[in-house]
Amino acid sequence: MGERNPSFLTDVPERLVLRILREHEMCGYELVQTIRDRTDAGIALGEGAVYPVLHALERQGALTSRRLNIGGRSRVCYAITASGTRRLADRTGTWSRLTSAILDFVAGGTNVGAA
Amino acid sequence: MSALLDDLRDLFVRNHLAGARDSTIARLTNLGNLLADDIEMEQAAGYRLGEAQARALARLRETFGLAATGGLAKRYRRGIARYREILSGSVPDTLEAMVERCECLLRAGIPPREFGRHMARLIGEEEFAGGIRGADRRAFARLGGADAMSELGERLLRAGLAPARVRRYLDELKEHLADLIVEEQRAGSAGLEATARAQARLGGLDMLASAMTGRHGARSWSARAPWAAYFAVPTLTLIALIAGVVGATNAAAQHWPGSLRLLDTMRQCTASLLPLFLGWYLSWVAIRQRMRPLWPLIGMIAISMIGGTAEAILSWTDFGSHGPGASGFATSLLLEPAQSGWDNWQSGIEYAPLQLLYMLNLYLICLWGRNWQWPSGHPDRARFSY
Repeated sequence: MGERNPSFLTDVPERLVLRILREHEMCGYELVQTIRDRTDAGIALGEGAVYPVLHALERQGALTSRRLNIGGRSRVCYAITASGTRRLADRTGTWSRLTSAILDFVAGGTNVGAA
Repeated sequence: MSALLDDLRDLFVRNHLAGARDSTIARLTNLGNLLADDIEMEQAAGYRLGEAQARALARLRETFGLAATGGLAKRYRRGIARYREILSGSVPDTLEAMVERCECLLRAGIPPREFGRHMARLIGEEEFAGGIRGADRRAFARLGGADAMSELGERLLRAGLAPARVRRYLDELKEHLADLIVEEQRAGSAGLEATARAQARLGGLDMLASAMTGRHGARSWSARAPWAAYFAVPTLTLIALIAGVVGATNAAAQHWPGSLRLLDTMRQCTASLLPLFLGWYLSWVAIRQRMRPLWPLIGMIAISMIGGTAEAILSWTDFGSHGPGASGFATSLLLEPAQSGWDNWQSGIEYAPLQLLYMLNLYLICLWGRNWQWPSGHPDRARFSY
């Protein structure tokens, strides 16, 4: 392969979070429900595990957060930054190349080095 | 149920106003959440949204009005008295009602061991054990959400996460849990079942802890480099501060020779008080971050040594003997021992153990207090950790 991908699987939650927050600002609870709905409950995680991901992304400058009033309750909502959008584009490109290489490999193709 | 909620609301507001643990924002957030719950309950009772909001707001205002009278101590005492009143009031006549009451108290942030003890006293140990624990031991254990959160917080702090980060994580988890409980209740689960389901969805204690501690860069820099946080930085800071004060007073003495005595007093005070304050600050940070005592102790010893040395040097290099143009603290620190002889140096160092003793007093008391709890049955140990 042309590049190393140590975070190939570990950054899947990050990509999901960034992809969903690209659409609009959300709180953690909404985010988890959206992931569950869109993946048809295919991705089931302990819902509390989303917060370490959100906090890490915020620390890295990919997200910003603020407290908002949602339905009478005060909640922390997250929004994607320009840096987060670039990061998502970058990770999505890498992900596409990798999945295509793996599919090729599994299907018995010889174009594995393309990734 | 509504009367119980009224009592809880009253209790909640009184104790949040009287307590000093949470920040103002957290208190207001809790009140907001309480109000939202109340509005939902009014709606469930058949009121339209506008009416439900008006009723809930009126009740909250009324409670605030009541709570705003009297001093803090008085309010606190009244809050505790009310708490006892709730617990010693009518005994729930069914297991379900009892569990419901336990759940309400838990959501108000009252630790399970508190109301569990009172309940056991009210209806008898045997009945209590046979009723709640025997009927659904696992479900009752799951009710210990408040304790689970505090255990999670403790684990994260011990793993080296910064207290502010831990607090934020726990706050968000609590809010998420509250949303999940509402969702489960709307889906038709009963009170206890809804809580249990919501907690299962949120994730177990181990998962929640490892999700946070397993991330790169999660630990605070003071946990990654305790030698720097508790030894190098404080000692260098102290030297810089004392040197700065000495430099400033020397410069001031050249311009205002009439104020030599005042400036000298300032230097002596700086040398004796700065190390002490710095040592106390280190103690507070170490306790707050659940730091093991090794590096904080080394840091405090170093600070007290520097403090004692500085005091000795400043007493030898006062304006009377060396004049206002003295070469400054840093040079004195290196040169004075050789010039003044070991005896003088040694007598100066005698200040160090005294300062260390003052620092250690506070540290040891805090260390002891962190692990200490009121003995079972103490009347004033109604702690509201929500």
